[in-house]
Amino acid sequence: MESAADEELVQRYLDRAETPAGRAALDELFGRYHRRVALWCLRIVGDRETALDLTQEVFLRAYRGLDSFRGGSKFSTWLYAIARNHCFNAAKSQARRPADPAEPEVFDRIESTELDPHQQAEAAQLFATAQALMDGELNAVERQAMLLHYRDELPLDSVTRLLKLSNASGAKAAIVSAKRKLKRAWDRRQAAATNVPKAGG
Amino acid sequence: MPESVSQECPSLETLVRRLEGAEGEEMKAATERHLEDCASCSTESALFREFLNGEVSPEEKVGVDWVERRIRPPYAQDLNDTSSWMDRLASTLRGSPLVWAGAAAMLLAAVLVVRDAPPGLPGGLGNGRIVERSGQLQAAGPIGDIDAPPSFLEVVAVADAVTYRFKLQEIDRTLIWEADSAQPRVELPAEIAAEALPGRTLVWRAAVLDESGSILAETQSTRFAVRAEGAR
Repeated sequence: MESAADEELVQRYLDRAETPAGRAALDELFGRYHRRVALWCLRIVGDRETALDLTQEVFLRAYRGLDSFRGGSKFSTWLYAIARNHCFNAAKSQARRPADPAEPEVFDRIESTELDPHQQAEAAQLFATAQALMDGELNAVERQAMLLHYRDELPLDSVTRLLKLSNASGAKAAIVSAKRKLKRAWDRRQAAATNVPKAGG
Repeated sequence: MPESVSQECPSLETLVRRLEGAEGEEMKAATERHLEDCASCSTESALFREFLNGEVSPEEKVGVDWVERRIRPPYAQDLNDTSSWMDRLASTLRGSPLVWAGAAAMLLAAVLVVRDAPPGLPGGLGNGRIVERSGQLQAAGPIGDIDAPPSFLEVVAVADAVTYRFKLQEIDRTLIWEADSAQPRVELPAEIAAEALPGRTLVWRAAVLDESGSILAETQSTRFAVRAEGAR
Protein backbone atom coordinates (compact mmCIF):
# COMPACT_ATOMS: atom_id res chain seq x y z
CA MET A 1 0.00 0.00 0.00
CA GLU A 2 2.77 2.42 0.96
CA SER A 3 4.35 2.32 -2.49
CA ALA A 4 1.09 2.75 -4.39
CA ALA A 5 0.68 5.97 -6.34
CA ASP A 6 -1.95 8.43 -5.13
CA GLU A 7 -4.07 7.87 -8.21
CA GLU A 8 -3.93 4.11 -7.66
CA LEU A 9 -5.22 4.58 -4.12
CA VAL A 10 -8.07 6.72 -5.42
CA GLN A 11 -9.02 3.90 -7.77
CA ARG A 12 -8.79 1.29 -5.01
CA TYR A 13 -11.07 3.39 -2.86
CA LEU A 14 -13.57 3.97 -5.66
CA ASP A 15 -13.61 0.25 -6.49
CA ARG A 16 -14.32 -0.74 -2.87
CA ALA A 17 -15.61 2.43 -1.25
CA GLU A 18 -17.68 0.90 1.55
CA THR A 19 -15.28 -1.87 2.49
CA PRO A 20 -12.45 -1.86 5.04
CA ALA A 21 -9.98 -2.19 2.16
CA GLY A 22 -11.48 0.86 0.49
CA ARG A 23 -11.28 2.88 3.66
CA ALA A 24 -7.73 1.74 4.26
CA ALA A 25 -6.82 3.04 0.81
CA LEU A 26 -8.53 6.34 1.60
CA ASP A 27 -6.81 6.64 4.99
CA GLU A 28 -3.44 6.02 3.38
CA LEU A 29 -4.13 8.50 0.60
CA PHE A 30 -5.42 11.32 2.79
CA GLY A 31 -2.85 10.60 5.48
CA ARG A 32 -0.12 11.44 2.99
CA TYR A 33 -1.53 14.96 2.78
CA HIS A 34 -2.69 15.63 6.34
CA ARG A 35 0.39 17.59 7.23
CA ARG A 36 0.55 19.52 3.97
CA VAL A 37 -3.08 20.61 4.15
CA ALA A 38 -2.77 21.44 7.86
CA LEU A 39 0.26 23.63 7.16
CA TRP A 40 -1.44 25.33 4.24
CA CYS A 41 -4.57 26.12 6.25
CA LEU A 42 -2.56 27.28 9.24
CA ARG A 43 -0.53 29.68 7.12
CA ILE A 44 -3.65 31.20 5.65
CA VAL A 45 -5.75 31.66 8.77
CA GLY A 46 -3.08 31.84 11.46
CA ASP A 47 -4.93 30.19 14.32
CA ARG A 48 -4.97 26.47 14.76
CA GLU A 49 -8.63 26.05 15.71
CA THR A 50 -9.78 27.63 12.45
CA ALA A 51 -7.03 25.80 10.59
CA LEU A 52 -8.34 22.51 11.96
CA ASP A 53 -11.87 23.33 10.81
CA LEU A 54 -10.61 24.25 7.37
CA THR A 55 -8.46 21.14 7.14
CA GLN A 56 -11.42 18.93 8.02
CA GLU A 57 -13.53 20.73 5.42
CA VAL A 58 -10.88 20.35 2.72
CA PHE A 59 -10.74 16.61 3.23
CA LEU A 60 -14.50 16.38 3.45
CA ARG A 61 -14.80 18.17 0.10
CA ALA A 62 -12.16 15.93 -1.40
CA TYR A 63 -13.92 12.85 -0.01
CA ARG A 64 -17.26 13.92 -1.45
CA GLY A 65 -15.71 14.79 -4.79
CA LEU A 66 -13.45 11.78 -5.20
CA ASP A 67 -15.76 10.08 -7.68
CA SER A 68 -15.42 13.13 -9.92
CA PHE A 69 -11.63 12.86 -9.87
CA ARG A 70 -10.74 11.61 -13.28
CA GLY A 71 -7.01 11.16 -13.17
CA GLY A 72 -6.55 13.75 -15.91
CA SER A 73 -4.51 15.60 -13.33
CA LYS A 74 -2.50 14.36 -10.42
CA PHE A 75 -4.28 13.84 -7.13
CA SER A 76 -1.88 16.25 -5.44
CA THR A 77 -2.80 19.04 -7.88
CA TRP A 78 -6.48 18.27 -7.53
CA LEU A 79 -6.36 18.31 -3.73
CA TYR A 80 -4.27 21.47 -3.75
CA ALA A 81 -6.87 23.22 -5.91
CA ILE A 82 -9.54 22.31 -3.33
CA ALA A 83 -7.40 23.48 -0.43
CA ARG A 84 -6.38 26.68 -2.19
CA ASN A 85 -9.87 27.72 -3.19
CA HIS A 86 -11.52 26.73 0.08
CA CYS A 87 -8.97 28.51 2.26
CA PHE A 88 -8.79 31.60 0.07
CA ASN A 89 -12.58 31.90 0.19
CA ALA A 90 -12.55 31.48 3.97
CA ALA A 91 -9.87 34.14 4.35
CA LYS A 92 -11.83 36.46 2.08
CA SER A 93 -14.95 35.97 4.16
CA GLN A 94 -13.05 36.71 7.35
CA ALA A 95 -11.63 39.95 5.98
CA ARG A 96 -13.74 41.28 3.15
CA ARG A 97 -11.26 44.01 2.35
CA PRO A 98 -7.48 44.22 2.55
CA ALA A 99 -6.39 45.82 5.80
CA ASP A 100 -4.07 48.38 4.25
CA PRO A 101 -5.93 51.70 3.88
CA ALA A 102 -3.40 53.17 1.46
CA GLU A 103 -4.41 51.24 -1.65
CA PRO A 104 -3.52 52.60 -5.05
CA GLU A 105 -6.40 54.07 -7.00
CA VAL A 106 -6.19 51.50 -9.74
CA PHE A 107 -7.04 48.70 -7.31
CA ASP A 108 -9.79 50.73 -5.65
CA ARG A 109 -11.47 51.11 -8.98
CA ILE A 110 -11.14 47.44 -9.88
CA GLU A 111 -12.58 46.36 -6.55
CA SER A 112 -15.60 48.63 -6.78
CA THR A 113 -18.82 46.70 -7.20
CA GLU A 114 -20.73 49.65 -8.62
CA LEU A 115 -19.09 49.95 -12.02
CA ASP A 116 -21.18 50.28 -15.15
CA PRO A 117 -20.12 48.21 -18.20
CA HIS A 118 -18.03 51.05 -19.59
CA GLN A 119 -16.25 51.50 -16.28
CA GLN A 120 -15.78 47.75 -16.01
CA ALA A 121 -14.06 47.71 -19.38
CA GLU A 122 -11.91 50.60 -18.26
CA ALA A 123 -11.10 48.81 -15.03
CA ALA A 124 -10.16 45.67 -16.94
CA GLN A 125 -7.87 47.77 -19.12
CA LEU A 126 -6.35 49.31 -16.02
CA PHE A 127 -5.87 45.87 -14.51
CA ALA A 128 -4.13 44.63 -17.65
CA THR A 129 -1.88 47.70 -17.53
CA ALA A 130 -1.21 47.18 -13.84
CA GLN A 131 -0.39 43.51 -14.45
CA ALA A 132 2.01 44.43 -17.25
CA LEU A 133 3.69 46.96 -14.97
CA MET A 134 3.89 44.41 -12.21
CA ASP A 135 5.49 41.85 -14.48
CA GLY A 136 8.04 44.38 -15.64
CA GLU A 137 8.81 46.38 -12.51
CA LEU A 138 8.47 44.17 -9.45
CA ASN A 139 10.57 41.39 -8.05
CA ALA A 140 9.07 37.95 -7.41
CA VAL A 141 8.11 38.57 -3.77
CA GLU A 142 6.52 41.92 -4.54
CA ARG A 143 4.51 40.42 -7.42
CA GLN A 144 3.33 37.53 -5.29
CA ALA A 145 2.41 39.79 -2.38
CA MET A 146 0.45 42.15 -4.64
CA LEU A 147 -1.47 39.36 -6.34
CA LEU A 148 -2.32 37.53 -3.14
CA HIS A 149 -3.36 40.69 -1.34
CA TYR A 150 -5.24 42.55 -4.08
CA ARG A 151 -6.38 39.87 -6.48
CA ASP A 152 -7.04 37.05 -4.02
CA GLU A 153 -7.96 39.42 -1.18
CA LEU A 154 -5.83 37.67 1.39
CA PRO A 155 -5.07 39.66 4.55
CA LEU A 156 -1.50 40.87 4.89
CA ASP A 157 -0.66 38.48 7.71
CA SER A 158 -1.83 35.52 5.59
CA VAL A 159 0.37 36.70 2.74
CA THR A 160 3.27 37.05 5.16
CA ARG A 161 2.88 33.46 6.33
CA LEU A 162 2.26 32.01 2.87
CA LEU A 163 5.35 33.67 1.42
CA LYS A 164 7.33 32.92 4.60
CA LEU A 165 8.45 36.54 4.92
CA SER A 166 10.53 36.90 8.04
CA ASN A 167 11.15 40.66 8.01
CA ALA A 168 9.44 42.68 10.74
CA SER A 169 6.80 44.26 8.50
CA GLY A 170 6.11 41.06 6.57
CA ALA A 171 4.06 41.46 3.39
CA LYS A 172 3.35 45.11 4.14
CA ALA A 173 6.96 46.02 3.30
CA ALA A 174 6.72 44.21 -0.03
CA ILE A 175 3.41 45.91 -0.82
CA VAL A 176 4.75 49.38 0.06
CA SER A 177 7.83 48.83 -2.06
CA ALA A 178 5.73 47.47 -4.95
CA LYS A 179 3.37 50.43 -4.83
CA ARG A 180 6.27 52.87 -4.90
CA LYS A 181 7.74 51.16 -7.94
CA LEU A 182 4.38 50.99 -9.68
CA LYS A 183 3.73 54.67 -9.01
CA ARG A 184 7.06 55.63 -10.56
CA ALA A 185 6.45 53.38 -13.55
CA TRP A 186 2.92 54.73 -13.94
CA ASP A 187 4.18 58.33 -13.85
CA ARG A 188 6.82 57.55 -16.44
CA ARG A 189 4.21 55.95 -18.61
CA GLN A 190 1.84 58.94 -18.29
CA ALA A 191 4.67 61.36 -19.01
CA ALA A 192 5.68 59.40 -22.09
CA ALA A 193 2.07 59.39 -23.31
CA THR A 194 1.74 63.17 -22.99
CA ASN A 195 5.10 63.79 -24.69
CA VAL A 196 4.34 61.77 -27.77
CA PRO A 197 4.86 64.19 -30.70
CA LYS A 198 1.76 64.71 -32.77
CA ALA A 199 1.91 63.46 -36.35
CA GLY A 200 2.90 66.25 -38.74
CA GLY A 201 3.60 68.62 -35.87
CA MET B 1 -6.72 29.32 -11.33
CA PRO B 2 -8.43 32.64 -10.77
CA GLU B 3 -10.76 34.06 -13.37
CA SER B 4 -8.63 37.13 -13.92
CA VAL B 5 -5.76 35.14 -15.38
CA SER B 6 -5.29 35.89 -19.04
CA GLN B 7 -6.50 33.40 -21.60
CA GLU B 8 -2.91 32.54 -22.46
CA CYS B 9 -2.33 31.19 -18.98
CA PRO B 10 -2.91 27.46 -18.56
CA SER B 11 -4.90 25.99 -15.70
CA LEU B 12 -2.92 24.89 -12.66
CA GLU B 13 -3.25 21.24 -13.68
CA THR B 14 -1.95 21.97 -17.16
CA LEU B 15 0.78 24.20 -15.80
CA VAL B 16 2.02 21.48 -13.46
CA ARG B 17 1.77 18.80 -16.14
CA ARG B 18 3.78 20.89 -18.58
CA LEU B 19 6.42 21.79 -16.01
CA GLU B 20 6.85 18.11 -15.26
CA GLY B 21 7.57 17.50 -18.92
CA ALA B 22 4.46 15.42 -19.53
CA GLU B 23 3.82 17.31 -22.76
CA GLY B 24 7.37 17.20 -24.01
CA GLU B 25 10.57 19.12 -23.44
CA GLU B 26 9.65 21.88 -25.85
CA MET B 27 6.41 22.63 -24.01
CA LYS B 28 8.23 22.45 -20.70
CA ALA B 29 10.77 25.05 -21.85
CA ALA B 30 8.01 27.27 -23.23
CA THR B 31 6.11 27.06 -19.93
CA GLU B 32 9.23 27.94 -17.96
CA ARG B 33 9.70 31.01 -20.19
CA HIS B 34 6.06 31.90 -19.60
CA LEU B 35 6.63 31.76 -15.85
CA GLU B 36 9.42 34.31 -16.13
CA ASP B 37 7.04 36.82 -17.68
CA CYS B 38 3.78 36.00 -15.91
CA ALA B 39 3.37 37.08 -12.30
CA SER B 40 0.16 35.13 -11.93
CA CYS B 41 1.41 31.76 -13.16
CA SER B 42 4.74 32.07 -11.37
CA THR B 43 2.88 32.84 -8.13
CA GLU B 44 0.52 29.90 -8.58
CA SER B 45 3.41 27.62 -9.40
CA ALA B 46 5.40 28.79 -6.38
CA LEU B 47 2.43 28.32 -4.05
CA PHE B 48 1.80 24.82 -5.34
CA ARG B 49 5.46 23.86 -4.93
CA GLU B 50 5.33 25.20 -1.40
CA PHE B 51 2.17 23.20 -0.69
CA LEU B 52 3.81 20.04 -1.97
CA ASN B 53 7.32 20.37 -0.62
CA GLY B 54 7.24 23.19 1.90
CA GLU B 55 8.93 22.49 5.19
CA VAL B 56 7.34 23.21 8.53
CA SER B 57 9.35 25.83 10.39
CA PRO B 58 10.08 25.39 14.11
CA GLU B 59 7.54 28.16 14.85
CA GLU B 60 4.86 26.36 12.85
CA LYS B 61 5.55 22.88 14.18
CA VAL B 62 3.45 23.04 17.34
CA GLY B 63 0.42 24.34 15.44
CA VAL B 64 0.74 21.86 12.60
CA ASP B 65 1.20 18.96 15.01
CA TRP B 66 -1.85 20.13 16.92
CA VAL B 67 -4.00 20.24 13.80
CA GLU B 68 -2.63 17.00 12.40
CA ARG B 69 -3.40 15.07 15.57
CA ARG B 70 -7.03 16.12 15.38
CA ILE B 71 -7.80 15.39 11.74
CA ARG B 72 -10.50 12.77 11.58
CA PRO B 73 -11.46 10.57 8.64
CA PRO B 74 -14.07 12.37 6.55
CA TYR B 75 -16.29 9.33 6.53
CA ALA B 76 -16.55 9.42 10.33
CA GLN B 77 -20.19 9.93 11.11
CA ASP B 78 -19.80 12.23 14.06
CA LEU B 79 -17.14 14.80 13.32
CA ASN B 80 -17.76 16.47 16.65
CA ASP B 81 -17.16 13.46 18.85
CA THR B 82 -14.12 14.51 20.81
CA SER B 83 -14.69 12.37 23.90
CA SER B 84 -11.79 10.57 25.51
CA TRP B 85 -11.54 6.84 26.17
CA MET B 86 -12.46 7.48 29.81
CA ASP B 87 -15.53 9.46 28.79
CA ARG B 88 -16.54 6.73 26.36
CA LEU B 89 -16.06 4.09 29.06
CA ALA B 90 -18.24 6.12 31.43
CA SER B 91 -20.77 6.55 28.67
CA THR B 92 -20.85 2.81 28.10
CA LEU B 93 -21.42 2.17 31.76
CA ARG B 94 -24.19 4.72 32.05
CA GLY B 95 -27.67 3.30 31.72
CA SER B 96 -26.63 -0.32 31.55
CA PRO B 97 -27.91 -2.20 34.63
CA LEU B 98 -26.12 -5.42 33.72
CA VAL B 99 -22.78 -3.67 33.42
CA TRP B 100 -23.37 -1.84 36.68
CA ALA B 101 -24.27 -5.10 38.41
CA GLY B 102 -21.06 -6.67 37.11
CA ALA B 103 -19.02 -3.69 38.21
CA ALA B 104 -20.58 -3.82 41.70
CA ALA B 105 -19.75 -7.51 42.00
CA MET B 106 -16.15 -6.88 40.96
CA LEU B 107 -15.89 -4.01 43.41
CA LEU B 108 -17.17 -6.21 46.23
CA ALA B 109 -14.68 -8.92 45.30
CA ALA B 110 -11.88 -6.35 45.23
CA VAL B 111 -12.85 -5.06 48.67
CA LEU B 112 -12.81 -8.60 50.08
CA VAL B 113 -9.40 -9.28 48.55
CA VAL B 114 -7.95 -6.07 49.96
CA ARG B 115 -9.50 -6.69 53.42
CA ASP B 116 -8.03 -10.21 53.59
CA ALA B 117 -4.61 -9.20 52.28
CA PRO B 118 -1.69 -9.31 54.74
CA PRO B 119 -0.66 -5.96 56.16
CA GLY B 120 2.38 -4.08 54.93
CA LEU B 121 3.37 -2.27 51.78
CA PRO B 122 4.74 -4.16 48.81
CA GLY B 123 7.94 -2.68 47.48
CA GLY B 124 9.72 -2.28 44.18
CA LEU B 125 7.81 0.53 42.54
CA GLY B 126 7.97 4.28 42.47
CA ASN B 127 9.93 6.57 44.72
CA GLY B 128 8.92 5.42 48.16
CA ARG B 129 5.48 6.99 48.09
CA ILE B 130 3.69 3.75 47.28
CA VAL B 131 -0.01 3.60 48.19
CA GLU B 132 -2.48 0.75 48.39
CA ARG B 133 -4.79 0.28 45.49
CA SER B 134 -8.03 2.06 46.19
CA GLY B 135 -9.63 2.83 42.87
CA GLN B 136 -8.42 6.40 43.19
CA LEU B 137 -5.01 7.30 41.86
CA GLN B 138 -3.47 10.41 43.34
CA ALA B 139 -2.13 13.07 41.02
CA ALA B 140 1.20 14.45 42.20
CA GLY B 141 1.66 17.22 39.66
CA PRO B 142 1.28 19.49 37.87
CA ILE B 143 -1.79 20.81 39.68
CA GLY B 144 -3.40 24.25 39.68
CA ASP B 145 -1.56 27.41 38.70
CA ILE B 146 2.08 26.92 37.90
CA ASP B 147 4.83 29.33 36.89
CA ALA B 148 6.29 27.51 33.89
CA PRO B 149 5.19 24.82 31.44
CA PRO B 150 5.47 21.43 33.13
CA SER B 151 8.16 19.00 32.05
CA PHE B 152 6.42 15.92 33.42
CA LEU B 153 3.18 14.37 34.67
CA GLU B 154 3.38 12.40 37.89
CA VAL B 155 1.12 10.32 40.10
CA VAL B 156 1.69 8.66 43.46
CA ALA B 157 2.93 5.11 42.85
CA VAL B 158 0.56 2.17 43.25
CA ALA B 159 1.32 -1.39 44.31
CA ASP B 160 1.09 -4.05 41.59
CA ALA B 161 1.21 -1.37 38.93
CA VAL B 162 2.63 -2.55 35.66
CA THR B 163 1.72 0.39 33.45
CA TYR B 164 0.84 3.97 34.14
CA ARG B 165 -1.20 5.50 31.34
CA PHE B 166 -1.11 9.28 31.09
CA LYS B 167 -3.37 11.46 28.96
CA LEU B 168 -3.04 15.20 28.48
CA GLN B 169 -6.19 16.89 27.22
CA GLU B 170 -7.66 20.21 26.44
CA ILE B 171 -10.36 21.58 28.65
CA ASP B 172 -12.98 20.13 26.26
CA ARG B 173 -11.27 16.73 26.63
CA THR B 174 -9.69 16.76 23.20
CA LEU B 175 -6.67 14.54 23.47
CA ILE B 176 -3.34 16.33 23.09
CA TRP B 177 -0.93 13.56 23.99
CA GLU B 178 -0.81 10.19 25.69
CA ALA B 179 1.88 7.88 26.86
CA ASP B 180 2.40 4.67 28.80
CA SER B 181 5.15 4.34 31.35
CA ALA B 182 6.38 1.71 33.78
CA GLN B 183 7.07 4.53 36.23
CA PRO B 184 4.55 6.79 37.96
CA ARG B 185 6.07 9.73 36.15
CA VAL B 186 6.36 10.53 32.48
CA GLU B 187 8.42 13.28 30.88
CA LEU B 188 6.58 15.58 28.49
CA PRO B 189 8.21 16.12 25.09
CA ALA B 190 9.16 19.78 24.59
CA GLU B 191 6.59 20.35 21.86
CA ILE B 192 3.84 19.01 24.11
CA ALA B 193 4.97 21.07 27.08
CA ALA B 194 4.78 24.06 24.75
CA GLU B 195 1.03 23.46 24.50
CA ALA B 196 0.75 24.86 28.01
CA LEU B 197 0.55 28.46 26.92
CA PRO B 198 0.21 31.07 29.68
CA GLY B 199 -3.38 31.33 30.84
CA ARG B 200 -4.50 28.20 29.00
CA THR B 201 -6.00 25.52 31.22
CA LEU B 202 -5.12 21.93 30.36
CA VAL B 203 -6.34 18.73 31.94
CA TRP B 204 -4.53 15.50 32.56
CA ARG B 205 -5.56 12.11 33.77
CA ALA B 206 -3.76 8.92 34.55
CA ALA B 207 -4.76 5.33 35.03
CA VAL B 208 -2.72 2.50 36.47
CA LEU B 209 -2.96 -0.95 34.92
CA ASP B 210 -1.98 -4.33 36.27
CA GLU B 211 -0.32 -7.21 34.47
CA SER B 212 -3.55 -8.23 32.74
CA GLY B 213 -4.20 -4.71 31.53
CA SER B 214 -7.03 -4.12 33.99
CA ILE B 215 -7.35 -0.68 35.47
CA LEU B 216 -6.38 -0.70 39.13
CA ALA B 217 -7.04 2.95 39.75
CA GLU B 218 -7.33 6.25 37.99
CA THR B 219 -6.99 9.89 38.83
CA GLN B 220 -9.70 12.46 38.62
CA SER B 221 -9.29 15.09 35.93
CA THR B 222 -6.49 17.31 37.13
CA ARG B 223 -6.31 20.85 35.83
CA PHE B 224 -3.33 23.11 35.58
CA ALA B 225 -2.47 26.37 33.87
CA VAL B 226 0.70 28.36 33.49
CA ARG B 227 0.14 31.75 35.08
CA ALA B 228 -0.20 34.58 32.61
CA GLU B 229 2.74 37.00 32.52
CA GLY B 230 1.07 39.68 34.65
CA ALA B 231 -0.23 37.22 37.23
CA ARG B 232 3.17 35.95 38.37
